[in-house]
Amino acid sequence: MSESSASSTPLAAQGLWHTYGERSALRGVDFTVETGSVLGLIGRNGAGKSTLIRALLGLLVPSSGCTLVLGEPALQLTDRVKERIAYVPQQPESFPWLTAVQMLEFLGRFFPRWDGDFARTTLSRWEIPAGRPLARLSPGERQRVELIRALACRPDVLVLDEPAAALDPVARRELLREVALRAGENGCTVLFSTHIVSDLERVASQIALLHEGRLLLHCDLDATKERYARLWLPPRHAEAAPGAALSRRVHGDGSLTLVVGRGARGEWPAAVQLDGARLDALGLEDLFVEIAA
Amino acid sequence: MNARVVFALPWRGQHQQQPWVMALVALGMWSGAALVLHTAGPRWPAGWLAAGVVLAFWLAAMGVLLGSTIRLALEARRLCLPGLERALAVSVVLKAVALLTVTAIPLGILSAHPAPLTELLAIGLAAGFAYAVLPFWVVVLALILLPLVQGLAAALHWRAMAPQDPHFVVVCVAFVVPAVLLSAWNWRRVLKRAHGPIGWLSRPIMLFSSWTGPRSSFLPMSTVLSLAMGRSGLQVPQWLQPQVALRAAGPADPLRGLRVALGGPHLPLTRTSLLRRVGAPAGVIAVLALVNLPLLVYQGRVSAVVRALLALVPIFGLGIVLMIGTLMRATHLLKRWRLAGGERAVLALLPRSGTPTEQAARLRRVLLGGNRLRQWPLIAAAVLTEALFSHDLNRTLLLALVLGLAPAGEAAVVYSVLGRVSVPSWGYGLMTALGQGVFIAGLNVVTVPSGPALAWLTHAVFAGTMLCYLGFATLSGLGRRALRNLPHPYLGLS
Amino acid sequence: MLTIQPGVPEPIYRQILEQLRRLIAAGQLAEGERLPSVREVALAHAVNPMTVSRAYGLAETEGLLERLRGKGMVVAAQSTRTRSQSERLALLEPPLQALARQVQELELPAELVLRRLGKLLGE
Repeated sequence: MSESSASSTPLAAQGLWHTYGERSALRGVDFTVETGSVLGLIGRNGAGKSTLIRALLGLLVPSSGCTLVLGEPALQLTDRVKERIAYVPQQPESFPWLTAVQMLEFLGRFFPRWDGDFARTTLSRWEIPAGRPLARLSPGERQRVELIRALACRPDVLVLDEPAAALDPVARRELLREVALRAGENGCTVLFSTHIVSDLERVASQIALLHEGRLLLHCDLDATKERYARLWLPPRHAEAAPGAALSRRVHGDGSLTLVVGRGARGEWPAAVQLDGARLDALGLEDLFVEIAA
Repeated sequence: MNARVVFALPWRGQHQQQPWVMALVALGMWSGAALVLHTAGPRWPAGWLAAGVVLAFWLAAMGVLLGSTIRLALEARRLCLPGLERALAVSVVLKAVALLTVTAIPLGILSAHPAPLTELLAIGLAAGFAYAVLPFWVVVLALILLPLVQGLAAALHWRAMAPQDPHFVVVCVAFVVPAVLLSAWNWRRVLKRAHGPIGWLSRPIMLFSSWTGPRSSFLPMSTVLSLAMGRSGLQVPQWLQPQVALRAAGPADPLRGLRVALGGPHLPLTRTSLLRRVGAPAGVIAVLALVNLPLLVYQGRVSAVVRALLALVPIFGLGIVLMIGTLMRATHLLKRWRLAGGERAVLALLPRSGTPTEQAARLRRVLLGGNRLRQWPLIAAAVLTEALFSHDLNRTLLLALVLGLAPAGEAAVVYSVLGRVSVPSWGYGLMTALGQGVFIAGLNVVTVPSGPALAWLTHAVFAGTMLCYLGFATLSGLGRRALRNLPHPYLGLS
Repeated sequence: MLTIQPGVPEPIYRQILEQLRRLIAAGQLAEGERLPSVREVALAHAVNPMTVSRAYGLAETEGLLERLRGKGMVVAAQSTRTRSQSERLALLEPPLQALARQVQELELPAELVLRRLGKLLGE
């Protein structure tokens, strides 16, 4: 990999394994996020999303494997990279002794691209009490202050861990608007993890599905919807089921439900043509549930 | 409620490695007792009493652990599991009795003086339990009034304070019975209010770190440090809230920036805020000192008054201030570093904060280097006072050793946290409880005019201090080595 | 003007495209009428602007829209007039396929359905 192409990959993980005690949180994850894409990382609680994000940013030492941010090893980031990335953790609890204004003012001094006006106007637009210590704000307000902090440093790579978890639907919509705008207009790369699939569908350009520490799916959002479908086979055709299905469920009466994908030339597996077989298009949430259940 | 549940509680509700480390600690303490016995000689009273004191400390630690199960009981009450609650209570009682018997019987048989040793052990166990369960202000008050009681005892020639005196049993009962009864009463009182917030006044020390399920840490936090940390949910009055003095904190002033980022006791405060926050507890202490004075004057011995004044205020007071400060900073670091969404993540990704080596050096400076101003002057002042006043080299040295526990302990905590040494969360709790015990006992021994009856305590304190130093040094060493091998110091325990 | 449903199997860009086709074919969007900008649509629906611009781009390729300097995207002039019958028929394809499938599921004879359809269209 040449110097320029290496430095242009916002986030990359190679052969990532991580265990907590006896439990493996990540099992051999390899993936890269392309510049300018908005990657939605979905997975069940405990699938390893937060661990993956922390490993990607060098906030933990993985049991094995390595991660890169903008071409540099995540555990040894230089200022050049740190100035261009922003991270919002899952339950932000930093600086409870500072007020929102103080926190933004203080952190803003470290970032050369800091946009103080944006920070101020967004604080008032989202009606966050600016003079109160962060410890006395509600979790939703706290999350929003962290988001302002992340957005105000005008990052090239934005990483959000369950950003909408504490937000009400209106605030969530606001957040998505901001994220979508940023990605679209500034070519900012966004990685966000969530289990609210509908948020993902609006804003993401790519999705990745993490299940029990393994990356099961990583492709374009629109392509995913068009590429996978749910196939139901009556009991008499059960053996004809294609082997390379993404998931497989046997019902009480012997019928099968599979998630199948199109082949290289866009054709469906042969089993689709069998009589009595039914092919349904899948919404993203259904796809997720079928695969990860 | 079945027998199996009773036996399994409260250990099942805690850390996985608990049984092993408990066994290790028990082994350590019992060998410590044997060592002390060997050093002082298996004579009565000196040797056996010293060993008894070491074991009493161990029982106190066990009492703290047993008392900390009040959190489990609280959860059981909140989840409406009366069976669990009752099983817990029964289990605590049974375990307490079992611990006492297991310790008292061999000790009694070997020393041929079962009664005083059992009483001593009972006091230890009850003290530990009460520390964990009684409201924090009661504990603070008790700790502050302790030297008063001892001074009174010495002044009034209460020989009953010595375990070898046959009247010691009175002292024992006078302490243990109210301690146990009050603890039980507060236990029930706290549980009755399980479904709402627990008032400031009745909140035991155990319940100060907010119980938010899996993230709660098992840390017995001491005394007024919660006030100083300005934690929400504690209804600290507005004028006592910390006011941060940001000034040029940031890349221009990295040390101040780090202090703002670390927060809590490290926060740079505005002058007025500092004055208010220091003035308030200082005022409280002054009032307490004034209250003690008339008592001392009353018994008419002037030299005793002078001694009490000179000892109580500078030495004991400084010692307590030292201890509180150390505990505050240690528990603050432990808490903040554990949080996944805390400042650690922000600091790790903050540009313009230097290379990892510089970052580690700055962390060391803020967390430990400040001790040059915070702790050593206090220690020097206290030791000097003692030396000038008592002209007793042994006592002065002992005081220096005991006071030195504070910076040593703080270094142990800082290095082990930064270096990601895996200490189970209750390990720190045990460490602070033991350290505090030795510290206060040491202060007592040095400051309070106690007769030869309590000479055995000095040996015990010395042994305890050495044990603590050993532990702290090991932890510091492990932490420092680990820290040097880390890619950056903001990794925390993963 | 547009509705976007994130939960359905159809990708968002396709939803926008389909709606544009129908609105233009129905005449609800007159020729020369200016469409909201990509940014406006993205903000209004909290979707990725790239999705919107992809839909607009495809519509432009199809000849539904054209880009005017200074004005943004406008409805193309020829689209309503020279729309051939086969093109308009192609727009009916999705509902027709869905209808055919439902008829199969209900196991109804085709002539019965066609007769009813004829009656409905005759009105």
